[in-house]
Amino acid sequence: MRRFAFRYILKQKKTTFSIIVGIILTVIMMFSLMQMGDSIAVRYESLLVKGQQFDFSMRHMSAQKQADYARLLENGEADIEDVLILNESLSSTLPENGMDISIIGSEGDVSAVFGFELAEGAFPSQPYEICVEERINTYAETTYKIGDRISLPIRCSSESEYTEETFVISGFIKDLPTGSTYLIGNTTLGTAEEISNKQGYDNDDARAIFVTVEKNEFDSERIYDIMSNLGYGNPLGDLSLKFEINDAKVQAYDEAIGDSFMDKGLKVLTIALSVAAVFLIYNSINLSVAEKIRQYGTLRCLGMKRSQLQRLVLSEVLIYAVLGIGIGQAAGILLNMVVAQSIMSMVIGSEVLLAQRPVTYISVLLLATAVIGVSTYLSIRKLQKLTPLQAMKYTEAENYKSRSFSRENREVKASKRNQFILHLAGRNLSRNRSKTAVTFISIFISALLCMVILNFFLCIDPGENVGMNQKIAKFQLYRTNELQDVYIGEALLEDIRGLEGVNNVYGIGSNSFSYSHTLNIEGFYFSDYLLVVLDDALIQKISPTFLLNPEEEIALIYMYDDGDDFSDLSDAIARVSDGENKDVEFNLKRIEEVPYHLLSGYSGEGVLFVNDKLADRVFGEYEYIDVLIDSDLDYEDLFSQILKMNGMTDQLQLADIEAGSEDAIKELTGILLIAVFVIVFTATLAVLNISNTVRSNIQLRQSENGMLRAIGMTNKTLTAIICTENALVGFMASVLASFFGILISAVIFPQIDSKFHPIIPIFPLVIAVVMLTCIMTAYFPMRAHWNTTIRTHIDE
Amino acid sequence: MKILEVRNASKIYGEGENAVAALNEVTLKIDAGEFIAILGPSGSGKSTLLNVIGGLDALTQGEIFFQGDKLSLDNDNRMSEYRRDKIGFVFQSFNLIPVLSVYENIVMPLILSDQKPDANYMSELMIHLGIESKKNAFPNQLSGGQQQRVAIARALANKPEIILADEPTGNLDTRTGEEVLELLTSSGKRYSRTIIMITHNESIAQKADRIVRIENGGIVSES
Repeated sequence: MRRFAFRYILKQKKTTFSIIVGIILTVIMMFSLMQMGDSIAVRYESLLVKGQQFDFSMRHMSAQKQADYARLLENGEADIEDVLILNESLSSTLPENGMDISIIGSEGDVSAVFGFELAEGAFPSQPYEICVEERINTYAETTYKIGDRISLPIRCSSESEYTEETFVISGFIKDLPTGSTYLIGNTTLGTAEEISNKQGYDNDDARAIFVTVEKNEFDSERIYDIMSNLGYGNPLGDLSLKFEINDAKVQAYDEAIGDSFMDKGLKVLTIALSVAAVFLIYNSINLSVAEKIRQYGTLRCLGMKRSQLQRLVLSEVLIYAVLGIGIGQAAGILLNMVVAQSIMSMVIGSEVLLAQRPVTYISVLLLATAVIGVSTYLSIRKLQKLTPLQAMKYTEAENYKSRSFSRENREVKASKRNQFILHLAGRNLSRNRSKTAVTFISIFISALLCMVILNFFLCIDPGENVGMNQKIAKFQLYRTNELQDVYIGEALLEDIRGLEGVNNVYGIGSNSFSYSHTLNIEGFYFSDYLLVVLDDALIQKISPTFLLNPEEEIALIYMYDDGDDFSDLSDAIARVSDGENKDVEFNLKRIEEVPYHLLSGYSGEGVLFVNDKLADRVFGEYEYIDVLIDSDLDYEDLFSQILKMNGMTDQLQLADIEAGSEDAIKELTGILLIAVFVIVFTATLAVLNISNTVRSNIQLRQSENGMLRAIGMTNKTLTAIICTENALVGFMASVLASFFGILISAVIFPQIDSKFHPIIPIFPLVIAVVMLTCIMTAYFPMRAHWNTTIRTHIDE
Repeated sequence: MKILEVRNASKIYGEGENAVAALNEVTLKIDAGEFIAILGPSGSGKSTLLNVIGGLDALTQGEIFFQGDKLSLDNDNRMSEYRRDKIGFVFQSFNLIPVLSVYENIVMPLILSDQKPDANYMSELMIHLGIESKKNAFPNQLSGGQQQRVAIARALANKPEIILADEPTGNLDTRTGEEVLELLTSSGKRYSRTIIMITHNESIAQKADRIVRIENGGIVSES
């Protein structure tokens, strides 16, 4: 049978090539996407404590409570991997520039729990030893070495005063991969306690416990119950299931549990494409058997047994499978090594190594094999239902019955040739409904993915993340923690303006009324609104699109909720109280849109924009929490100069807007490349499916088509019928895809970001492209047959 | 004027050592209204002769004239029109379109030439051939004889000048075959059509007005 199988395969080169290429492409695509998804998922695997562990923490407890809980946990009543006892209330700054240092006083394996890796030296074991991030040497004026002494101002809480403490550097921690706005250090718990006592700090709520547990074994309710029995009441306190200190870990956990958008997106794409790919493989195997049904019928008439026929079909399919899957997997590996790694790095922003997990290879192998197996089984089953004679005369329409409801409907209504073409094309589609269904689904998936991806990308404004700011300045200085009482005052702005290399500084103040100022207006509640104070220079820059006039005393209000009653405020505000019973009058105008980025990261009911003149008059002297700096200096230079300024606090951060913009564009480009990859592959799958179907139809209807030509049908008309068949399937599939595409764009995408909406022109455009593709895919094979001899009986 | 004239027609398949002369300088003249049977064994060239007459295949040498006009396969549209308007085919394997009903199969040649079917003529044809009651059935619901009758009706639908029948009873049992042949003959006479039928069966050939015997690609006798 294998010899027969080889003969068939070699004789039908086009069919063989098409089937094997289809399987190869399918496997390449599935493998490539799966491995990319895996690589992203395991990107921070080294940071995760033993892979799939959760960290949970309990904070703000006294030393006694901490000891009791720790004893309970360490006794093994819960399946705890590591317990870390902390006093986490030490904060410090680098004396030379005020950069913040957060020092964890710990007892236990801090590296296991926090994911710190030692670059050099050792973790502290003696009193007043300290281990700190090695990038301290980037920011400090002195270059520290192991064994050096470092004096740091330490305070235990925001209420404490700083005391100068001297430590010995025992080691350096490797810089955390995702970076942090402050340095991290580690000392012994005993040292932290001693400093607290020295400062007279009542650390009844300064202690914390960080615990790591195996994710699948963590029974939070049981833990809580156990701890509740200690008599301290609810043990939760500030319980969280993720670290908040180590950004890298947070991100690692997000990605490991599939929370990241990229990870989720890739998974959805892999599933969608795998479904499309499955249909292609199914169709290919099905068609390769269907095309030879008459020959199989002849073989059966000659005496071939059913089991022998099964072996023949299986041998053929085995060859397709081995070649297709083997080459496909190898090509997928190569593609990922050459291209995917670069794309992923663009998307993620840092190097991503390809994951080489056996589970990926095995999954693809199993999936492809399963599909080939199922389709072969179904094809053989269909074969066995036919008698040898039926097989010899197979036309796909042996059991064709029209589903029309009335006799009248069965008669051809089309008396015109064009209508007849449509009529016959429609009937042909129902000859083999499963074949038509497979083609339909394949086109549907491809069209839907194209529409959704195109819509998604057309809604993105690449420069939006920095957008307006990038046009105005290169850097943005902002406070790192909104809960801190930190502002950038005019004095600092002037100092920054005075730096050599700084061209201009613009202030964007934003604050919540409830934290600093209140406006009391009869009948209206302002505390949920943000107050944004824009300086005159900034308003001049954006004034063409923004109504806030630097010369005019007018405030602009943007309300998120249309239900809020603006009409109550439309008249001049008669009375405003800033807490000092000062009456101020100004005009208020409602706006429907705001310049983007001005609202980035803010929340509330809406925003009130005022210029600094009005802010001064209403609220008195005002300070900013956000400034844009237009400077020719480089990032490190500018930041270190700012940090050195007198009166400078340690809660500010400088962002390089341009770098952020470039990163954003690079990321988008990476995502776009993945999207193009997906679209090209699904389109290829759909085209292959249609082309297989057309080829099969030509083969199966050879004598029928010959007869049509014999009775006077021209080549063009015959081609038109086949093209119409495909156009009908393409049209129906893409219209259905449009419906779902619009639904996804209107309902699901806005949940990612409110800027996403359906862009209607995309959908008819894609429908047109799909139909054209379907027609062309059918046209060329038919065209190639125009010059072949007309055969009215089957020649095999 | 003869309705059909074949002059020195030769058809060679293959090249060099593999060349096979399916037709070898065949000359044949046919009058309008004649019923001709082309009789010969398998491989004699009778199907090839029918195919070239029907414009399905091109001659290697020679010419064919229909009503004085030379047939040329160079122009596909013209040949399609020739087959559609002047010729009616009846095949051994019936070759009905399985997804079209009986009526739809019959009127198909008319639709291809943008003609509206003459309802009276269609009805008469179907009654004569005994398939009126099967008008809305599909081919898979008909017996072999019924399918062949539909094929004959289709061949007559566009009122062709010539009916070409390729072993029309080849796939039928003897009795059904005789019935079908009788219908074919009577239809031809009724509607004054020229019938050219190929067969390998002597007794079937005897039904024709003239028998042309063909062997090894050449006409050996006419009677």
